[in-house]
Amino acid sequence: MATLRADPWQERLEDVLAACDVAFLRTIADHLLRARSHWPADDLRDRIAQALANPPLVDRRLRDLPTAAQRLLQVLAVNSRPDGRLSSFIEILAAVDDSPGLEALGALWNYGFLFPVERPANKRWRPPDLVAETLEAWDPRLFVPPPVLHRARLLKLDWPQLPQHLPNRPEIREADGLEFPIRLAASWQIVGTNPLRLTQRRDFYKRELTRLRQDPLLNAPFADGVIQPPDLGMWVIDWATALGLLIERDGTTEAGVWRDHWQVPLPELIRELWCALLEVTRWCPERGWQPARERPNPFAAVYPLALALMFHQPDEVWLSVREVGQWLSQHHPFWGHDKDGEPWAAKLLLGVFFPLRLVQVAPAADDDWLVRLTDLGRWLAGGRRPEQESLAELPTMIVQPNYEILLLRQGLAPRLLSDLSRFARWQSIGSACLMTLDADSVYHGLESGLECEDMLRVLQRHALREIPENVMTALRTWSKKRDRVLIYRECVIVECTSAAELDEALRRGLIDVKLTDRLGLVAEEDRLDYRQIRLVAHRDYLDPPERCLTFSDDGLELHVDVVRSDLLVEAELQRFADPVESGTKGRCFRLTRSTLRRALSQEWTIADLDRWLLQRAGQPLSPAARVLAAPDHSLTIRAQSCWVVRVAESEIADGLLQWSSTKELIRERLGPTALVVAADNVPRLQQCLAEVGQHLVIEFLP
Amino acid sequence: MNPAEKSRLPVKIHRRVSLILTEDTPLAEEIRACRKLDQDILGRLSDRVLLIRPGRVEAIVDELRRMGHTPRVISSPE
Repeated sequence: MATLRADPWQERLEDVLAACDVAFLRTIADHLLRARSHWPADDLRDRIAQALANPPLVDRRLRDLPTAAQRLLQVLAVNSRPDGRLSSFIEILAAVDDSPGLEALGALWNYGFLFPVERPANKRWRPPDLVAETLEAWDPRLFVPPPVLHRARLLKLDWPQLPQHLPNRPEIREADGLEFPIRLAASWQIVGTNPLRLTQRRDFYKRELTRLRQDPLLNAPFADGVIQPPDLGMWVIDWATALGLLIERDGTTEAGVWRDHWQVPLPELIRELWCALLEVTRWCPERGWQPARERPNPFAAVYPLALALMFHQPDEVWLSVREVGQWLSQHHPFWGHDKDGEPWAAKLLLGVFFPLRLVQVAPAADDDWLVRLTDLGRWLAGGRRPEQESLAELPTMIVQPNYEILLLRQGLAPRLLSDLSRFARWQSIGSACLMTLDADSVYHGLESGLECEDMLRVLQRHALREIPENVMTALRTWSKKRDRVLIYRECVIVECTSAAELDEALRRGLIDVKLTDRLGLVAEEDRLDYRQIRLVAHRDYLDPPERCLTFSDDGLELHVDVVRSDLLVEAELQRFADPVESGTKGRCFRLTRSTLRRALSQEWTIADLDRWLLQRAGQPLSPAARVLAAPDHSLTIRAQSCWVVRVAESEIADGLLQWSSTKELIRERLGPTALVVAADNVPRLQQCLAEVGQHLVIEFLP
Repeated sequence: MNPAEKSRLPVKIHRRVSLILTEDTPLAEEIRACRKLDQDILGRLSDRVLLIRPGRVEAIVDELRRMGHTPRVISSPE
């Protein structure tokens, strides 16, 4: 019997019971426990949870339910998942019972057999008033506690019996169930290479739709098909998204991760596909791709209804596809009791259930087809488990020297599909499938976490013949190519105070990779052994740069503040300054003519240096450094012979500059009390001063 | 100072650093020669080590792949 995944639902039940309105808890207690005592709310929650796990009690209460509610539970029991939308529950109720379904839903609430999946945010939960207006705006996910569904399967209910038929030819066909797993695996690869952009209505853009409609892999004809469903490409994408193989992020559908359900036998994977199929909302067998719906997809209710209807027929009985379709369309409210049946029944049973290996098909008269559940289909609906498919790794492929892999479907298992899809490119899907190996596909395999040896192991285990030597060599060469460029997303750089200490850190295994003479890399901070280091300072790479340099008095040395410095400071400093022996003052760099000229001859300019130093030292290049940085013969520096006349006070200098006799003799004022006079004019100045009774003292300085 | 304390190496740690480590210098030069890549490179620690501007790892990876390189992105300890 298929086992429902109960654990998460038990937690959810406890969670939602804790959020229930106390008055409603008492209603449940009245119906489920037949409580006469007035227990506190916490006691009530515990007792309700215990009662729902008590099979005899659940059996008794199930028998008290209206028939419609019993049938709803039986349909939900074939789902392999206990949750669904309220709208689907109502549609199933309407299909399985002619009486209005709201009464049955009310009974399920009151017995504690139906709860919301999402816990209400800010208020105590109680069942809603189920009026049409409410449903239009509010269509919550609900769930039935799994133990209740287990017991509901055992209820003896009268299900409608459809006419039995016999095939007109003994051609019974059963698919291998691999059509969809292979396409889903290919979709991961297709979307991984080219993510799909989504519109605001979760539709694909026109170009993407065209691409998906024309994709030769996703739309490849079924190897053993009767009917090809419409818009197969889009359906597979939507299905893969529901399965978690693809993810929607920031308006784009991207490749997701291979989950554990690809590591199980095929029947288990098909059960996962079935569960995910109920989540496919944008595609249906009737109209194909239809993302903009005004009402929920009716097939979320049709899938379990069809499976339950066939499951409750006698074993081995063949049913007409047309008659199954007629029953569904006559009873499901979406089609308004259509008496003629719908062509979608063939697409559903022959285009969805058959390739999924849920039904066998056989030809009938009048171009009709007959169907009956396979062992797998019966197991999915609650029957006996089919014979366990082996997980043994059977040889099922031929690797050819031209890097092609020929896959035979007989031995294909979900695990092999997922492994191969990660490092080999799908080329064609058919009764035998073709994949190829190339540098790019191997690179994607490595990126997904596989090692070269993992890939070789997969090929060797499943190959019918020995792997060609050139393929193995190419795989190893392509794998090595990836190590030419390593990108560390978020690593830790350890900065040592000297090269010797970095070597010591390497010797102790503290550093993974040596980057420079003082810098080492550790891929993950957790691996850093803090017992062996003393943290002088730490810095986050995302922090903005700080001022961490100071100029020496001569303007030619830059001292580094180790606490504030960032990674780039020293690397960039070395482009225009040379490190000098640090001694006790910390690390220091000296500007020389050669270092400055070196920087200027590359991509730096004086303006760049000024900008960089303003950010890191708070001042531009020092005047001394500017002199050193100046190109050869670019500065105009003249030495001229002249006399400096010094006076005791600035007023005297002012007077000499104002008096017309001396004014013309003075060439320049150097300062408040210093004037420059040309050598030729000194005798005249002496004479002028003598005329006014002053004496010019002539001095020759050494 | 006890021996254990003495043997502890004084270090400064730079956390959350994004960088490219190339196999050889010409490869790093090739990366810097690409204008699209160079604008996301913050600087060079050595001939083979380039610092990536914060938040630009994905852009760098995409561009490298577009150029035909197959960079190995290391996000967690191997």
